[in-house]
Amino acid sequence: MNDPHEHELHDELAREMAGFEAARVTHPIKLEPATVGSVLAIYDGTDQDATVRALAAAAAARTGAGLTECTIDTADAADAILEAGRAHDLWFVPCPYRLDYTAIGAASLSPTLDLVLTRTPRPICLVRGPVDDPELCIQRPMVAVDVARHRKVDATALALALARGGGWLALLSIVDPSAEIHRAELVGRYLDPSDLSPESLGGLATARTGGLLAALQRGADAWDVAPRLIAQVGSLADEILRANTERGYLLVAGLDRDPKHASAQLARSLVLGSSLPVLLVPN
Amino acid sequence: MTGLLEAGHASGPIPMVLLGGSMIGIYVLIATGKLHKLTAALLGGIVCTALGLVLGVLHDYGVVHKILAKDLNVLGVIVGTSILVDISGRSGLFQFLAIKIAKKAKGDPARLFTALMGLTVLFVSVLTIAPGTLIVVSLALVLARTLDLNPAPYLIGVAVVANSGALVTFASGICTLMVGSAAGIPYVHFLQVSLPAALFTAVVAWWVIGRRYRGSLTAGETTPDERRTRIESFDEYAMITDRRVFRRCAWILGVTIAGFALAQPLGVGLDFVAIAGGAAALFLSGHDPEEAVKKVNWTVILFFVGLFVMIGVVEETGLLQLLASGMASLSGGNVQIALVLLIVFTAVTSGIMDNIPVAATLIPIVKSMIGTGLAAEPLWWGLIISANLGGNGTPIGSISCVIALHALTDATGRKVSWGEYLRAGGLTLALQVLLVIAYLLTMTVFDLFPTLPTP
Repeated sequence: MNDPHEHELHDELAREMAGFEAARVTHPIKLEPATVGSVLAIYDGTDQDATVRALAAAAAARTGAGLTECTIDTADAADAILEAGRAHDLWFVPCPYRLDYTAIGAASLSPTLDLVLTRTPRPICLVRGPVDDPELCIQRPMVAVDVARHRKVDATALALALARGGGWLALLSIVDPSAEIHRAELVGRYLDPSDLSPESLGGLATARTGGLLAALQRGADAWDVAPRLIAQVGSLADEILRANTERGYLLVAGLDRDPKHASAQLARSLVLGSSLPVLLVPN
Repeated sequence: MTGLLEAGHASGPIPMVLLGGSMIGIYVLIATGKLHKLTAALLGGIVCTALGLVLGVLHDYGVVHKILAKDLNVLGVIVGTSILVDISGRSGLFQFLAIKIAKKAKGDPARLFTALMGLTVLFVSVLTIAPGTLIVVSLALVLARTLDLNPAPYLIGVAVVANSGALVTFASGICTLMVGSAAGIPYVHFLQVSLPAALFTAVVAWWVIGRRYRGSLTAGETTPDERRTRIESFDEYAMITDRRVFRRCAWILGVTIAGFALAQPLGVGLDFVAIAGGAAALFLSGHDPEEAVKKVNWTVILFFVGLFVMIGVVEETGLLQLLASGMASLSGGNVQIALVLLIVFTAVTSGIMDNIPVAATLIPIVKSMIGTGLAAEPLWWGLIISANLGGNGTPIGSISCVIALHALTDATGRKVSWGEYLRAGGLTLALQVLLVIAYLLTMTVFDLFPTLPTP
């Protein structure tokens, strides 16, 4: 009984058709939960250590991995962290490192972590403010697929390893109207290049994630996970932070290690803007 | 006739002429599109109320509230189902089913046509006509582009067959709901009487449009293998946006449909069931209630308010009873003749203008005809079926036609002329009307209608 008003018909059709376009998956994605054999919790002696411990323990419990803990309190902490983490699949570190989170947490990741992020070979979870329920935080991750988009499958696989067995997993897809949207992409998805309405761009956000969402939903029963797609239109950083604050759980994103890369800068700005832990999955 | 005037609440010829003339004037404005139907209906309600009070047709203003109270259940069902349908639609439940069923056609154009027709009847029966049509039309356009097919036959087919889908259950269409509520028809009676009519009229539409466009229901230069590969590239799992909501909506929809069927034995109204379903969907989906409520079509609801008040005031003059008496006289008191007259009149007028005011005006007329001693069941079913199918007659006759033809022009730039549409939809309607008359006459002659409960 939703008799659409004529002026809304175009938008309703654009939204529905973009949804069906998302199902036209030209490149099926193979997705399996990432293997996590061991989790490393690194402490720096600040009051963030307790949160690091709780989150790392929750991740280890959910993935069935072993948990190793160490405190690194040396001048060349970056090298020590990289060395200590060599044998582990997932790291949890306080951010900023060896600095007061409440004082400069929103301004700097710390020199140590700036360096670590350019060289880390392993996924690294940057722990920020206190977390109310570490177990829930870990088992309900949200993957921001537009941050280092080429890493979205690996980021999702790791999020899946954390969420499977009763958790929730959200995929956040955002189209930024101020960014360049290639005409070829719109035409290729049968979207009207002259129509950049929020409905049409929302449809593009859905369509971009079609293959990944399909792979997740297809295996959801076997993995016992409840996937969800959140499609938004707006500024990438603002929308990611807003969605993550609303949900209140772990944020997962890809990481380009080259700090000059735009997506690396975006990842850093997300960490700085978030009071929740951010898990970065490097290339 | 004089007796009726004396016995009823008739108020003399001047109020009848003035109020009846106002109602006809409003209908002309709606039919010609000179005024938006909402504005026209509200204007009609205001003018008729003012005239009714001035001319003494309404003894006091409280009568207007009594008129509206009679139709509160219809408004409740519209609000409740709108919320439920919006949340279910956003979960991807129906889109998932749509792709799964369309893939069964394996890319064959003719089989795809059949699959989309079946899908339309199914979706409209559950979701009602506008949202059901919107989903299938969108899918048809995407599939046609992917498989390099002419979308016109698919979209025209969906537009026409959707009106059959509106007959399946009590809550499948607004006209069905309005007439069913006024007549007090139990939900299960729809499965016995209008469901068979929905199925055979859908088959007629499938056959006529399939034959009319058989030259277009072929693939271009793609091979069957290519088409099969292309349709297999659709992954229905990409349509499930939220798995928890998806499952919950499937449950809530199932329970709501069962609730509709059990409403009467349980002693509650359909509006209670619909509002409960909508509230459950809001509660269990976690969706923003503000967003869901925005999707309720307030235009239709306010249109109803104006319409119901206008018709209610006109009814108070005794004019509609006079018309009913005239129709009963014209049929010579023979229900079979009255049935044929009613079906033809309703189908023709529903093709020319919105079928909702047609049905709303005919409800009190049919009630009065029944009051003259004609059997109730054939007339009520005749009104329900012909009001829904009448929309097939013209490209502006039903919301499904408006959606499908607008989508075709929007997506491909192709316009379907009145002539082209009439050769498909008009011919379909003519055949459907003949078959419906035969069907309902057979039911009448052999006394096959389930008996309506006494009010």
